[in-house]
Amino acid sequence: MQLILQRIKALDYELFNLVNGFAGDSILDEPMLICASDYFAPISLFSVLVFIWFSGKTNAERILDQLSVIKSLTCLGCASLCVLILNMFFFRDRPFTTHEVNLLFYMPTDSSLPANSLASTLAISLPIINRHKRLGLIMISTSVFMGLARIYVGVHYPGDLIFASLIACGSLLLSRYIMTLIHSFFLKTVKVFRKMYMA
Amino acid sequence: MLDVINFHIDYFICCSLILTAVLQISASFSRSNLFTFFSNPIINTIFAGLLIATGFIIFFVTDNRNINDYEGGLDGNEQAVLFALALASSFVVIALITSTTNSSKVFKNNNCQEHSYMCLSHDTYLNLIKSKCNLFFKESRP
Repeated sequence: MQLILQRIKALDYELFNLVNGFAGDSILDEPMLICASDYFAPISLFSVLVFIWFSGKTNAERILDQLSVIKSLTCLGCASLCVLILNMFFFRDRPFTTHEVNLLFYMPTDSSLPANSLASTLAISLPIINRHKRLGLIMISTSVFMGLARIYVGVHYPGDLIFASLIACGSLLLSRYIMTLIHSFFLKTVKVFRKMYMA
Repeated sequence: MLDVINFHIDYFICCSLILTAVLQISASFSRSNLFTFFSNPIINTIFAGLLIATGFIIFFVTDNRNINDYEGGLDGNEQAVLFALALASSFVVIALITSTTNSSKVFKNNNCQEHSYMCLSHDTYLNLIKSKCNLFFKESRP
């Protein structure tokens, strides 16, 4: 078991080196830094959620859109909770603390595993794909690209991203169950927003 | 301390610009014409695109934004609060501007029954809120 874990870690580091090796003197450095930042992907993805909330052409379309937005937020809550719980039990050092890397980013102090940024952004994106296939795919691509950019700038191993993706998928299942419990509450909330002409 | 506040203000301005643009695009999509700055949807969408680009450029080009949250950056909770505030302020600003500029385009015999954002295709936001308040006071009178 120990041997398998060591092999996985070695492979993870090799993959990390493959991506991070390009960083340093490349013209990609600046765009990758923006993509990896804590602000670009979250602002973009939440803006898409705002667009989905308001863009339906009929009331029936609108209610389904708003349901997908609430699902997305519920999934985000579940993913954040999972990451919070996992961080209590696991701690993995960031790549720059144990290896020599091309670090372009600031030095985060929290656990590298799971990649909480990817878990959150994927959790926002996954529920949208059922309702809006194209928008959902764009959102998922943005999230994955942000994850890859984070390897490039030297703050995550590829394994952290895989683990974060599993957490996002698990959160999707959990959020589906939670949505069945809060469906009537959701309808009441939308009614209040509609009375203020905000839904 | 001043740098920290500046970062927060920059984030708020960036989100406000982007969300104003997003609300404009969604209003064009949902044909809520009295909630748009320009009656032509293509011009409105181009304007919104420029606003989005401006928001991101102002935020990312003017300073280094890769800062840890305990060194002046924003943590997740702060981001959520500022984003929600930016959304609310964008909505209010659009409602005020479009209610003033589109007041001549209101349908005279408008009677919006569905009570949703869809009503913004016939009436301005302030008119809708005003008639809602009037109705409420009328009904609550003994």
